[in-house]
Amino acid sequence: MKKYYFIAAGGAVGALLRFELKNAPTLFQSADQLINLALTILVINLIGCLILGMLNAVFSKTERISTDVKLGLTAGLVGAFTTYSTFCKESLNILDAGYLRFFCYYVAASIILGVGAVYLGHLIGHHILHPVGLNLVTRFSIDTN
Amino acid sequence: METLCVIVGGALGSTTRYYLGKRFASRHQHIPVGTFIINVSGAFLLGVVTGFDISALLYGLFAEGFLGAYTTFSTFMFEDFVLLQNNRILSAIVYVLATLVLSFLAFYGGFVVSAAFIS
Repeated sequence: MKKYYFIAAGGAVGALLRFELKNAPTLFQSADQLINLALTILVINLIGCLILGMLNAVFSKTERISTDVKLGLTAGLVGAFTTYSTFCKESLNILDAGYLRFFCYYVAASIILGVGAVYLGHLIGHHILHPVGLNLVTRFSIDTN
Repeated sequence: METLCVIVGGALGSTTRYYLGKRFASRHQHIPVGTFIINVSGAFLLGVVTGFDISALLYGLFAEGFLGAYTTFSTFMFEDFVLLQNNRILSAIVYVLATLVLSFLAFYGGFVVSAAFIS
């Protein structure tokens, strides 16, 4: 039951961050509001994919972090920060506005860059964050001894 | 006030996703059925919400908050990455295409249903 509180807290923060970023007026400034919104959603989703790749790579190798905290960050924070339903809505809005070509590129780019971002995050977590974390932990324990 | 609605919706949406994701989790590992059902049903519901002309507060609660957090893009992509990593190329492609096609249809279906309901 306790893990649900962590997921709810993470989800609340993730949804709020997404909402604030989505309404940030300066992110994209093309003439068409629909295109700006779609690109903003794409950036939000790609950031989330990168972070989820990193977190899962680090978390799978450590038991020092509790499952509750792990779930709060992955299923809660990142899961709620990224969104599929709005991606769907904005894609169809673009199609409805007659940008058939942009629609195809947008959907294809979301998927290809999305998997790519997870892979990049996975590499960063695996080869950089985890070794550095271990290094810090080791140094700290030597110092205290 | 709208911000508060998004926060409450986000907390409810993410816990609902986790709960249902566990319940739908498939025993065979070919397609991650849980996230698939969540994203398609979330797209349908956003279509319904979009069809109704609701206030900004309710839209913040249901659409930006609840459905935004209930559906997820990062887990969808992560699961596809894991399928590719395990050399399940066909499953990875089928998973993406099935989610895209069915969710677009579901959103449109939800929108048509609520639009018909109003008129």
